[in-house]
Amino acid sequence: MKRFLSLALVMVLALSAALPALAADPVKLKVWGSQDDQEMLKEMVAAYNEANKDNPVEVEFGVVGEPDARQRYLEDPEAAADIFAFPNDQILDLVKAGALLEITHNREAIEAANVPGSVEAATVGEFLYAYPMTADNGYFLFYDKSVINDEQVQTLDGMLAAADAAGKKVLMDVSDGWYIASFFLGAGGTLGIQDGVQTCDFNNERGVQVGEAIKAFTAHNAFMTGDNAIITGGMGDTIAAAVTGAWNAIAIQEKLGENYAATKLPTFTLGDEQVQMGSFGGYKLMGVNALTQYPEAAMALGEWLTNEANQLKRFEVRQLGPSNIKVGESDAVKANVALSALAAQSQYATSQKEVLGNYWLHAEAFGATMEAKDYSKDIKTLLDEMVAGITAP
Amino acid sequence: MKKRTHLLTHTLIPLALAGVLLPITLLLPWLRVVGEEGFVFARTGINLLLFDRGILRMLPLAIGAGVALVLSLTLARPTRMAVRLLVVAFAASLMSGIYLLLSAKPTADASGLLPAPMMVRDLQFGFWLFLVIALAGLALALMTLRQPTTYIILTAMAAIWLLPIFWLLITSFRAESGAYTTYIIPKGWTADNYVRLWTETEQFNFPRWYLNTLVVAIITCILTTTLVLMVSYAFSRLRFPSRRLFMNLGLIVAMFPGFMSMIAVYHILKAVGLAKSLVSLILVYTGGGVLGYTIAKGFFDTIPRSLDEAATIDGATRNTIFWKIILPSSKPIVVYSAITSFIAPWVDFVFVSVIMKDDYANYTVALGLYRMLEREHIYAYFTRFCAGAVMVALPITLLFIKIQKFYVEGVTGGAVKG
Amino acid sequence: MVQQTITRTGAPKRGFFRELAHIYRHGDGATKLSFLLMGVGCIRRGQILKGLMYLACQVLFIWYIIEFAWQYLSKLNTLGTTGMQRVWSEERQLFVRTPGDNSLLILLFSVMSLLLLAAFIGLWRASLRSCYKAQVLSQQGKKLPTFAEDLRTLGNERFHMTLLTMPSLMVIAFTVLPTVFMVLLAFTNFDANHQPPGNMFTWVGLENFRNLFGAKPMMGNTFAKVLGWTFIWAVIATFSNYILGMLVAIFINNRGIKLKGMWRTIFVITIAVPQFVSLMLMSQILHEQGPLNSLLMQLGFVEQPVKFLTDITSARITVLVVNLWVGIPYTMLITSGILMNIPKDLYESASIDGASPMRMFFSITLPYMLFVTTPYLITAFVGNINNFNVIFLLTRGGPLVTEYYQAGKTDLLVTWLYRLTVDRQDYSLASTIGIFVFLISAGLSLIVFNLSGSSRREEEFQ
Repeated sequence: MKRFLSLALVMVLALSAALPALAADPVKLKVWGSQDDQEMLKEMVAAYNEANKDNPVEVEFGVVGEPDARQRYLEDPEAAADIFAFPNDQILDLVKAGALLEITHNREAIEAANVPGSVEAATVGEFLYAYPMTADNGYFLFYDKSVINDEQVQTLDGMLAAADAAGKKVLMDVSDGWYIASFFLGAGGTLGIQDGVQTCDFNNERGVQVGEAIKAFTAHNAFMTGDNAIITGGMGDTIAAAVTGAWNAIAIQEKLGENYAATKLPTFTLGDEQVQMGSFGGYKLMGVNALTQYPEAAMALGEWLTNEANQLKRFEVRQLGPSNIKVGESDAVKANVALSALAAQSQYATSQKEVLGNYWLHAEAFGATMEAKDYSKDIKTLLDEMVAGITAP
Repeated sequence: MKKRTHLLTHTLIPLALAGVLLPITLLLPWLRVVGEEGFVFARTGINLLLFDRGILRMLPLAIGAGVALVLSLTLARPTRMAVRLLVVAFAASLMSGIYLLLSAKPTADASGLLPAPMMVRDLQFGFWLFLVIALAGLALALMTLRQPTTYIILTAMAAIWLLPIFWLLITSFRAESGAYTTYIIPKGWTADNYVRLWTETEQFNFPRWYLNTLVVAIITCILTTTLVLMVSYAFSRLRFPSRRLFMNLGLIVAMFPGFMSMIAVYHILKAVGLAKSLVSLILVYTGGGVLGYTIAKGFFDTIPRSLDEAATIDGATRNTIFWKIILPSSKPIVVYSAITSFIAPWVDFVFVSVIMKDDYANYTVALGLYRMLEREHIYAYFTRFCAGAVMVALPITLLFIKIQKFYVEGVTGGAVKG
Repeated sequence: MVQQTITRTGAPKRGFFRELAHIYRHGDGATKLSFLLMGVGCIRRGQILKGLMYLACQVLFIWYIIEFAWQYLSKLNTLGTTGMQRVWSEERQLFVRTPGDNSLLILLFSVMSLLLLAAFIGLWRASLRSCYKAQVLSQQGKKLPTFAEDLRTLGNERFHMTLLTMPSLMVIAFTVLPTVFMVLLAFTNFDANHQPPGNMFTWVGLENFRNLFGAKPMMGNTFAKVLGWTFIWAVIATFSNYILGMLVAIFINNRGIKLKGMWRTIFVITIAVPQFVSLMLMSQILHEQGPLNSLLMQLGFVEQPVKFLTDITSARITVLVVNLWVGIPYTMLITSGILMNIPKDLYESASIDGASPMRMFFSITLPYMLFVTTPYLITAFVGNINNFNVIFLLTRGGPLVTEYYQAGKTDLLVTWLYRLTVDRQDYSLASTIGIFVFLISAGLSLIVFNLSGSSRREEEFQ
């Protein structure tokens, strides 16, 4: 009897020690997403908790748009979210600052499921630092079918002539380092990193020719510059073609209606040859905070938010091009005019991995000078100054 | 008989001259026209009036000029009424001249009578002379009535100042979305923007932000005004050992670019546990607002010392003097401090974004509105942005209008003789 | 009030250490003990409450240092040596990171603690003074002030302390402390490559200054040019606003004008609209494809859109003009208020003496205005040097040019700083430039303020 009682006592004690472990504190995670994504993210998290009834997560949502992710993180890493989305050009800065946790759970599966470009964008050194989320942050060409026909849209000169004849414009934001690079990259210019400093050969002989081509383009009567608001406001009325990305697809489609069309970027005249315009490939990635208190749960949730089902959901709700291979091959995505144009252009796209922060403003300065038709200095001098600024340590 | 002495006599002759010259400018070239063979000639005002009716709106102009002519002929025996009517005539001529300027191109191009699109430089010196004389006549007529001519300048300036506000107002009622429209007057009108601003709160929680900002503004206003007045009174009236030092320090301390210290401020607040709360906003705004004491001090310096001395003789402590004597006579500066510190939270979007970071519910209106103009949202939200801006401007404007009366009362120097 | 070099206790006022030495030599046992334990001397003489309060402060401060501040102060000279550790955990199959030293927090909290230390030393000195005073008074057989009496002096002789304590604390916490922190940042290498939590930054001495003035010519050139434009902008903006605002105030204040309130209200409405709203509106209106350009084209004024904000010279002029639109209502209000303060009898006696309106303006109005508004002018001038809103919201500092390092042709030093901090996280360079902005603004203000009539003739006007 005594033995039984003492055994029972021991068992009770053991159980009461184990019980708290069973009823563990719920995992609390914070997720950042842009304003438009909040609803969708809430649904995705609810679905996650449905699928993981024994390990639910309590999620607090914060509103931080993808472009702001890096800045917000660096301002206060401890207060930052456990999971946040960011565009791929921020990955180098974030990794340098020790912000991202290496993805080590299910790495091979993730790498196999997403397009190689997105995986490459998320990899730094030998580690995968984020989950690929979308593959549509690149740019291509939208145009008005009734003004520019399929043949004219192949070359830049053809487009300009067609637009001019109709009294409309071809829009490209040349004073933006992102867009202006398409000329240089297409002609074979390179951007690289050596010893932590940017290298750039946009001012070599070929680069000067490219500069002349840009000058001719911006001096053309049918050239116009502007940002998203101008594009969406003027497409169809004053603008016949615009270089922009999938984020404007819905608005442009509304404006053009039946005349809505999109394709890869045209070729431009360099000397006697026609050179295909290149572009920067862009992806949105979802990263895990290296300082998170619950790395396993965060990684699981991050993987969930970017898995095949949810990338499909993202495409359906927000028209965002997926990086998941299977979703990308689905009929719905293929039927999407903008995304297939993007896919066509992505053959000529370059990764932004080798671009350091200094590049953007100085390239923008060159583009702005061209747009302002400020010819006080010759192209070679301008390009030299631009490269000097870009390559400054 | 009595009325005649109120008019200024030495402006009567130039006035009559202006009235006579005005219709004469109609005989001068007004519009440059290029004929079929490229032959350039000019149409005079009379030509346009009588023959080419459609090109420029000459009629109202001619009427104004005619009336001015007739009235100036009566100036041999000037009456007040005549001069008043002249003011009206000249003003009307000026207005129709401006109207002509603005409507010239549309009507000229539409009339089909000109071979090439019209530009303003095609208007010849006859027109410009007309405008100048109408303006001069208006000024002279006002001078004759002994009214300040600055009315003209003020009216013009008021129009310029109100135009953007006017644009803000009508855009807030615009039905079409988009920010860069090529037209000014909306094609469709709706009050929807206001409704949606207050009801659609998932994306932009305007009502909550409005409340936040109101609370912060009121408390900041009270705190800052009290503190500023205390500080400036101390510097203006009291003499204590380190006074010069403090004044100089206070002057220069504010000169470091503010937003850079925000990182530090954020971390300090975080260490005290106040980050991302409205209380921290209040503290930051008050801390910054206190440094505006220099203006208040300048004001206090103009209050005569004799007020203080009289009170001290009656046995009041410095404390009493401050609250019972100085403050009540400082209404303008109290009002000024209160208003500026009240407005600050409504317009700041830099500090808020650093302190609130991702705490959406605690944003203030300024930051929220600023976010509406971001790349992704500007197309859909611009009209609502205008509506939000109007809602912010409204209470402040009403406040200003009400406070105007206090503003006008200056300090009366009646408490002490001499 | 005559400056006293000796306090009422006989201890020399000048000379921090001389005063303390004097107190030590002449103090008795209790006072000497107060050097170690604050407030003991007071308690001994019967000022129990005061003494206990001093003692409590001391205990609080020591607790603060041990509990909170020492972990940061000890690392101040290196700004952190242990970086973030990354350890591979086999069971969890992931990298576990342990946060290391955070250089930012080390620097910030060390500065804060040093400031608190300075304050504490001041408090210590005050306690010694009051102990010694209590001792002297009791030796002379006089009555010691009770706590209640001490409090009452705060309402009269020491009223300035009552008035200034709260504001000073806030200013120190929110302005002085961050400023010192930022100045120190200029001597570190805190930039994009040294971001916490993954990296630490450390002291580099004068390297940033060397870079700015020699090592990197592009930076130095940009700095000089941007500084030049900042000055030109500040001068033109301040004076145009002031003079035009004063003119408008005078116009409205004129005796003949009716409905003064209405005229003022019209101008004031533009203040009521938040500045950033009106500026963003302006940037939309003045845009190349915006309504103003299309209006001008429709009305036949121009054939091509005018590049208000994208051409270098036009952008500069536009920015100044828009600043007028924004600023004149303010200056008008301020000068209005002051215009009405001018005692009417000055004008009456002048017109009795036969002075013309012009003469009265130049001899009475203008000097009075300049006297009263000198502090305002200085504030406005410095405010314009740091006028972030107008430039940022209208042109973002553009148009950008290739010869500048990350700067544009309408960039002020502050907007350039903003871009360097926010876009490039180059805090150390930005701090270095910030120091120069500060030196220039502060130097100018101090010189003008102290030399100008307003400070010399303060008493005269009163």
